[in-house]
Amino acid sequence: MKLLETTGLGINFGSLEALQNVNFSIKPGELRSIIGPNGAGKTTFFNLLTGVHPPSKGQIRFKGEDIAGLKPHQIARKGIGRSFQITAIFPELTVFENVLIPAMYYHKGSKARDRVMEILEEVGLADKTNEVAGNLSHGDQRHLDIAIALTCKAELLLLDEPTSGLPPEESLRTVELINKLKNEKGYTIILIEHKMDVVLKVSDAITVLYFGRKLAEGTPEEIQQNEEVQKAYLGGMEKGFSLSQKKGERAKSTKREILRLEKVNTYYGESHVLQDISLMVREGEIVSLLGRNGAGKTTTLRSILGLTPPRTGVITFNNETINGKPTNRIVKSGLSLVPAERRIFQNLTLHENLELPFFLKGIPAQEKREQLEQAYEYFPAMKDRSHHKGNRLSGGEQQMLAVARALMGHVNCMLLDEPSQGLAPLIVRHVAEIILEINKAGVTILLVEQNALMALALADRVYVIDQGQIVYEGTPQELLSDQELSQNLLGV
Amino acid sequence: MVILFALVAVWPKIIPFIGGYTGLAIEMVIFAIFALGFDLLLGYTGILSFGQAAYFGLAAYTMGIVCINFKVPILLGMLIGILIGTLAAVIIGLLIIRKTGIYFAMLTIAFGQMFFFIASRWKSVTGGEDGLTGIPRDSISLGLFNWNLKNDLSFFYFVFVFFVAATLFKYWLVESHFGQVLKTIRENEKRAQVVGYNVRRYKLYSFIISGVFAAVAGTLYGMFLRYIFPQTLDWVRSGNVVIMGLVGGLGTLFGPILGAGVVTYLMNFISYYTKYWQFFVGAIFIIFILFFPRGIWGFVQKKR
Repeated sequence: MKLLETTGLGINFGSLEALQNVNFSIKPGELRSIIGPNGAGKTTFFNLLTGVHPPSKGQIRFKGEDIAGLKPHQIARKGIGRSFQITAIFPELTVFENVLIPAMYYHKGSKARDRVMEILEEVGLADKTNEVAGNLSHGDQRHLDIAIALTCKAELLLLDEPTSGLPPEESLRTVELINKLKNEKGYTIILIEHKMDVVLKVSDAITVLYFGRKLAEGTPEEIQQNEEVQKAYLGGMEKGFSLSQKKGERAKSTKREILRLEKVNTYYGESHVLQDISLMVREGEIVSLLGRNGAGKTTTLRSILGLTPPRTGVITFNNETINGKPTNRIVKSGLSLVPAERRIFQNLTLHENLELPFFLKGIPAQEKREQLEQAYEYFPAMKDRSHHKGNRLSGGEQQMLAVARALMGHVNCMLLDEPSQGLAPLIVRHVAEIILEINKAGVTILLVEQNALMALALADRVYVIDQGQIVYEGTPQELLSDQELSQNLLGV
Repeated sequence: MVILFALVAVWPKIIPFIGGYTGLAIEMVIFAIFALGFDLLLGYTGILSFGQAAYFGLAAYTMGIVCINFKVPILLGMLIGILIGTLAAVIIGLLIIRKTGIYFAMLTIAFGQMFFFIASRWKSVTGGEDGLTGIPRDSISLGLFNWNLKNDLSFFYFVFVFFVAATLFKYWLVESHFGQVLKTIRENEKRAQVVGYNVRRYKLYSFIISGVFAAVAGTLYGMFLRYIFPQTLDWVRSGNVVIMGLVGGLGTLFGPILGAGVVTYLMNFISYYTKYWQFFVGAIFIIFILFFPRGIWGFVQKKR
């Protein structure tokens, strides 16, 4: 007896076959993970199952009934709940209302309230019922997203990257929740996830999607040993981070200081976020700034760029004091940012996104052409996609575009904010290799990461930030050789 | 809410102290009804319409036409006007509710202007640019009960009855399950759909109910002026109700009432002193958007 079964499922977006001929089935009580590179069609698969897009071909059977072509609300009422990759909650309502209003469709009166408390208990938010959802921490918002999915008397849960953007210890909390939902509450779960440690820990079986097709299916062990999967997706990265290029080939750095922060203090309103941060980057170096969620990593980058100007302290770039200057002037002097979550302009084409920085910087046409060509050389895959709009690009493509965009103009120091977030293991390595290549071409890099393994593999020197203070400074080798220290600071 | 009703009930007695008169008080309360309905749409459901005056004006015209040409009693005329206004909201709503954001707003303008041009060109029925004069407003009688409306003050209390009903209805509505679902649509439409709500139907109902409020206000407005003219349907008037909502505070019960009062009063007050009054109204609007984005009532709530 299958709970859900698809046969020959497919959908086209224009000429793009986003998903083709997917045969999939899941038994009641099973936990199945779907993995695959960015753009493989994982979220599209969820969109078909939940009726967001009607399939172009094929059937979807839920409890024996064909549900293909039904509207999303009709499918929800049949008992398929879904959480979202990008947190989808009702930000201005309280936690309680967030769950209550959906639950009211399925339960009447006080029963609805009882059910809400039960759900909030399950996801660990029972003590936060009256908080406004938008003010919750990212981790709690991710759990609230799952809580909303549980309201519709769900038998089948579709979880779309529930740990995305969470640091290791919070991912662990989510893994516990998923295990509880499966083992104690008896939900059948389909999980999309990039973090292989999570996938291997919780899955009964794994389905691998690759460019819209099913590449492989089997137990976690079988998938890990599957050669095709290794080649297309994992690349050995599930066991730890490795770079194919050697760091030794890099040009020597010149020892000249290019960026320096001296006792920088930054506030958000009254909260003292950065406390006496001092750090230094030499020309040609790759420096990683590591730390947990909320430690002050992004704020450090924002302070440098003048987006959140520091209250006290000095920041110098190329021997010039830059704190207090407006952001556009700072960017013009050769610093650029690759923001977290990429911030691609969704309605502009890839090419237009790339061209944007030139308007600001007033660079001659000849030079602009050369730089654009250079960008397409770094990222050959972008060439075919250059006329696609930002919102048609996969996560990995958006990340490459964000990096390429930050390279345009006269850039000699690049700040990267969590470039590995939400990317498939193999793509993370690809991005890391491109960072190395850019650095070889003479661009200094300051990298902020939660993915410690990637950051350590790339960096010449490392700073660790915790609760707004620099708590460690040294080389990656030193940090890794001190087991206790790296365990404490990074959880690796 | 009792305080609100009490205050509005004695409003005609207070308004002379701030340079007003009973007629202005009537106008304020009529636009409060209009704004209450508009707020349901923008404040609670998150849908922006720039064509609400269409249902306001259409109801007023319909009432005027049936009352003048067919000598229908005024209450029945009102009812017919409200029904026709609502019917238009149903039909237009069905056609355009699938569109969102800017496209939806543009379509509402287009439909609004369509009615405006019909009203200003179809001279034999609507009186064209000159408008429709002679809408009766004498007395209504329900069995033994007789109510003379000729006097502005007694007409004020006639409008007041509708205002109380509209406020209570709106309050009940937004506190109900229906109103709660509208809020989730405002916050995250896609999510509301995936938990099982038929979002399009809720949006349509919200649009229609908002149209009913507009139609009720429109018929009262026609009775008040005893005269109806094409500008009643114009998108400028639709814009005014948007301003009222924003100035007062969207998504709150008292905000739109307050906004309608303040904006109506200011328009009247400023136009008394200068013919460039629209400039000042625009300036006030800009100040509110820049410094009080949640309107007067939102500001008051935050301060408390």
